[in-house]
Amino acid sequence: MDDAQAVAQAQHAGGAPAPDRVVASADAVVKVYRMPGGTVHALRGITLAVERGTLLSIVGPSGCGKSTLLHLLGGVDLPTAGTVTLLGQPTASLSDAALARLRLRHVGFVFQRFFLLPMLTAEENVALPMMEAGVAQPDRRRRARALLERVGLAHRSQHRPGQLSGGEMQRVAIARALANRPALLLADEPTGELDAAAGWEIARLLREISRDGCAVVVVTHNTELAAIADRQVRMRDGTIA
Amino acid sequence: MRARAGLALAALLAAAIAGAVAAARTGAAPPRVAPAGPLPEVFLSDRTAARLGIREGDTLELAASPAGPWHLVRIARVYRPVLYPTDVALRGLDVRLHLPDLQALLREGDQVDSIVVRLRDPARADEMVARLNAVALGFRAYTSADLARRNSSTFEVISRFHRAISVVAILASSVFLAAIMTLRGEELRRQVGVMRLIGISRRSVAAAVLLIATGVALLGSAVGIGLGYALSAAINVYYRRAFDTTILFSQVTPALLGLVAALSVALGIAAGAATAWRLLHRPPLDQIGR
Repeated sequence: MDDAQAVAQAQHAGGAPAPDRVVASADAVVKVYRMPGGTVHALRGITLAVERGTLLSIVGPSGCGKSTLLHLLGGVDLPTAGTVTLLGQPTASLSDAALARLRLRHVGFVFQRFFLLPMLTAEENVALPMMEAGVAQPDRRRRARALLERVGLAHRSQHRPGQLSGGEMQRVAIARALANRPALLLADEPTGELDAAAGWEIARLLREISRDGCAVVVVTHNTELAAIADRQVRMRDGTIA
Repeated sequence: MRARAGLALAALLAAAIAGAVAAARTGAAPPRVAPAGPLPEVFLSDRTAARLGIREGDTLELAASPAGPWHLVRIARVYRPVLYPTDVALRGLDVRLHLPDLQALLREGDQVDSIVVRLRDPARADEMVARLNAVALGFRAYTSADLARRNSSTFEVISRFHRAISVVAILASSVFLAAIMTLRGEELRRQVGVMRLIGISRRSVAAAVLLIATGVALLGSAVGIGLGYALSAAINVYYRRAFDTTILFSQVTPALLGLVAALSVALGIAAGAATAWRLLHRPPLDQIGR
């Protein structure tokens, strides 16, 4: 067991992090999916806290509940039992619209397949969450350009996703996730579709983002990315191993 | 050149010129009714002249029936008539005679079926008709608008038929539009899922989908209008050439364009609303395939 696992295990066992540093937490969270073929227990009592300025990686075999946990922490889905708290608010107590607002302003998402809007340029993709948040046009344009510069894509700001490589699209997706200065950035297999060099670039970027104070949670199979995390949580069969 | 024509049907005239639709015969046989003075002069439509192979200055024999008697006339002019839509497809022979000549030909004596009166002030047509009908016995006066209405029942049937075709076309296009939006909706499914995951409100997503649907509808109606114009022009060119006329067979009017644009935008918005409703009532994670 490495240090990160030890930290995760300690938290699982009840070692409480400083409350003012906790961005999101799961407390005895259970998630059950009722499917036509039967019931699937995706999470079986997970307890976890995510602190600001920390890069947390979640690893484990496929189907062990990693992505489900990520979605619950981001307020995309609700737990069947237990409590998920996001920025001090239990997600189950919030309406769909309130959860959407919370995600918009405080949570950034990065997906394995990038999911950029193909009809928009890189800059417009980055500006989209700011537009929804009501940021004035000059400000969002300035920030979108700054974010693209930060991820090394200032020269590609007017390109559409179809004109970008996989690594470039993922960097645009990260810039979009950072648009509204989120407290929590959730990345689901962000290097899954990239070659080693591009994957390492993304890992380095996520590391930088966490150093800047954002809580970053990464679900990954990439051992290099998992290795540079401050904490590593290993999951198996819906539990923290 | 001499020609003989058997008159099948006579219509009547205004001013000094009489109109007649004639079945003509041509040839060198002598006329059965010899004119006392100079040959009566007639006008021949260009189509009739072309069909009979004769021209201005030629002579022609006319009769009210194939049994005769035959009257020799001279073609004073070949003219191009303004055709009514009802006459376009007719293939009869068309001859115009002076009224006395026509009366002699028909052996009808001093008689007319109708007289066309042109007014200096057409706005007073109704008043004139009322005055004529109040004082004159033995005939009935109509305004040209009334006559057009009385004679347009065929066109009303055709017009209703066209309207029915339009309704069917609009229904078919609305199904097509709905199908396009359904397909577009499937393309949009993942994008809508992502937008909702990153916190874009349902209202904004619905507005975006509606905007896309309206854009598709406007683009479709613009293409449809363009096609309509092109087809209309092609129809006019073809039928004007086929019937050798200047009549407008097909017309795309501003009212029609307005109706088409309004309908397609309304249908586009309806199709977009249905697509947006369907997309927004699926969990975003399902939409991105998780």
